[in-house]
Amino acid sequence: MFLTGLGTLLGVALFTATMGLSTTARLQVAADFDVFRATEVLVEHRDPTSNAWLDEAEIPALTRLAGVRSAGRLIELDNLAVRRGPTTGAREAGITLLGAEPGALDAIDPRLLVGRRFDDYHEDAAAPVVLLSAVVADRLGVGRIGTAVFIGDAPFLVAGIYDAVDRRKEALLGAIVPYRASAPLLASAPNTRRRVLIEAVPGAAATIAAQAPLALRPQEPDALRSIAAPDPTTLRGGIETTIANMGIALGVIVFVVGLVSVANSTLVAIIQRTPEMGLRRAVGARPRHIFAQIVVETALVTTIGGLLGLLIGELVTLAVAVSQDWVATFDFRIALAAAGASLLGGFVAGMLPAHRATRISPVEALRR
Amino acid sequence: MLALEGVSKVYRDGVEIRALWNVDLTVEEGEFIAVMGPSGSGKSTLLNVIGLLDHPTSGAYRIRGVDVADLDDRSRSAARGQLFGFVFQAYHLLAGRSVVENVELSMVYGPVPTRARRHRALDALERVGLAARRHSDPRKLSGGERQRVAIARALAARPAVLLCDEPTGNLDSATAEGIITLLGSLNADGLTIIVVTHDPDVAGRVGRTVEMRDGRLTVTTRR
Ligand SMILES: Nc1ncnc2c1ncn2[C@@H]1O[C@H](COP(=O)(O)OP(=O)(O)OP(=O)(O)O)[C@@H](O)[C@H]1O
Ligand SMILES: [Mg+2]
Repeated sequence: MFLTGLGTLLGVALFTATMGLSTTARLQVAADFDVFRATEVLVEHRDPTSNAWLDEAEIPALTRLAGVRSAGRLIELDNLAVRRGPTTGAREAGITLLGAEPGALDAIDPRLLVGRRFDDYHEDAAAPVVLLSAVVADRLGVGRIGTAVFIGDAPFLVAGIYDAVDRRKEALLGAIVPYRASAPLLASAPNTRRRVLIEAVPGAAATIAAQAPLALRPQEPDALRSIAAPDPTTLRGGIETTIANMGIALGVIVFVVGLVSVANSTLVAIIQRTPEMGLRRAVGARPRHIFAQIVVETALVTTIGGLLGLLIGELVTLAVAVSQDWVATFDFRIALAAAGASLLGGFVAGMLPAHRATRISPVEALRR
Repeated sequence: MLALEGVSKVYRDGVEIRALWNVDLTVEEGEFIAVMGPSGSGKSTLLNVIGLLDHPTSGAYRIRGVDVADLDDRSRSAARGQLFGFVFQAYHLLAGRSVVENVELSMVYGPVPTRARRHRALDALERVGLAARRHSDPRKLSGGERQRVAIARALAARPAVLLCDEPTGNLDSATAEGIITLLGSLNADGLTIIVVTHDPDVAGRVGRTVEMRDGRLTVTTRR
């Protein structure tokens, strides 16, 4: 009886595990390689305490490289205080501030709810203007452009408020000022990161990452290091889907083989239970009662097998997800499909043995 | 109550086998009949035809005036389950179910509501003296006890006629004696019983003995 359900169990376990793993993996792939990160290249100094290199960097030479959409200097200052008024009593928030040249701002590509971006003019003038993320604007109670906020102790004019960015997601919880306008704030920031941010055309990120250090610092290219997201999703995503499809196909095959073996062993069991069938007829069972009994019994076996398989499949998914540090996903529809398939499969697998059982002559069955 | 007129059951297995040939038999309410005869003479076939497990190939069989040829499958199954109780030489108890569950089986396809079944099954077990073993696994019972469970199973559905095909065939004589005594007391309570047996002693305990030979019902002895 339990061995009978084993085929269904294995089939469903395999099916659930592959479905679960492939959705989990697919989400993970999406998280790892979204299209924006795939077109992002960061260049930084190998020595994090080095400061001067960024101002010396040959941005125009970099911009001339094939595949560069936009590029610019970017400095990130952690944990800066932003206030509504000049005094410490005013509403305050600790944020990450990004100092970005217009080229870097283009790469960040903030979506503005109100206002407009700063440009080369503001950059050259080190104009004290700021783009606030909607989160920070909310915390400060700022709703309109033209409002003054104080970063560190310096006043900045709010030029715009944004609620989405393509790159440098940390900007969603912070604010952006012109690169040069951030210089006076360096003293009050405990933590800074100096980088060149490059937006590449799709597929060019790896090449640009290799060429950027030489372009930016020809006298000492080895001092710089490029950070590029691994190659785009298409290739690896495609492979993952193929593996998932193979797993699902294998699961379906094992499931079907399992059902056939269930049908077969039920048939054998029916032959062994011939006297029982005869007895049931003798106490008033009609052939349809016998049929229903066998079909329901078979469906019970496959459903129990299927539910156990589902459990095992989900546990495998969970174990793999945990060991890979992925977010485990439980797709209710997969569970429902697996349970439903086991139930239905049991009904189908039970049909032939059930039909056979109704053909047993009670007289033959009871003779001995 | 039961009336067979010229009933025949013929198998064509290369040659023509007359398992029953032109049998006339009338069974009255409350009778205790023994069917005797050599092996292969058609005793089981007769019992199966009477119990609606088998169809005669010709002749008329009436139960309380109703010709069974007029019954459809549903009515035949219902009549089989409710009018007749069967006891077989091989007991046919289901392994893996308790004694009382086996007894309840005879009511599963009938009109007895689920809640009443347990009570009636225990009553029947009481009647055969096995109420104490109600939760036992039938495989742990002796042959005589198993046959008592089988009798309780037949009784629980409260049949009009009890059909027993060599009920003591697998039992030693002392145990067989107990079963026959039980059948006698059930008959004394008014149950109609037809029992196939090879045991000449049984013949002395019943109201009527019929002899089968080559499918024919030959001698009838009343006591
Ligand atoms: N399905 C069948 N096909 C052919 N012949 C059959 C079939 N069933 C029974 N017979 C024959 O019918 C005859 C009567 O059989 P039945 O079982 O009624 O005998 P019986 O008197 O009960 O014998 P026993 O004492 O051995 O149980 C036998 O000759 C048997 O071979
Ligand atoms: Mg026989």
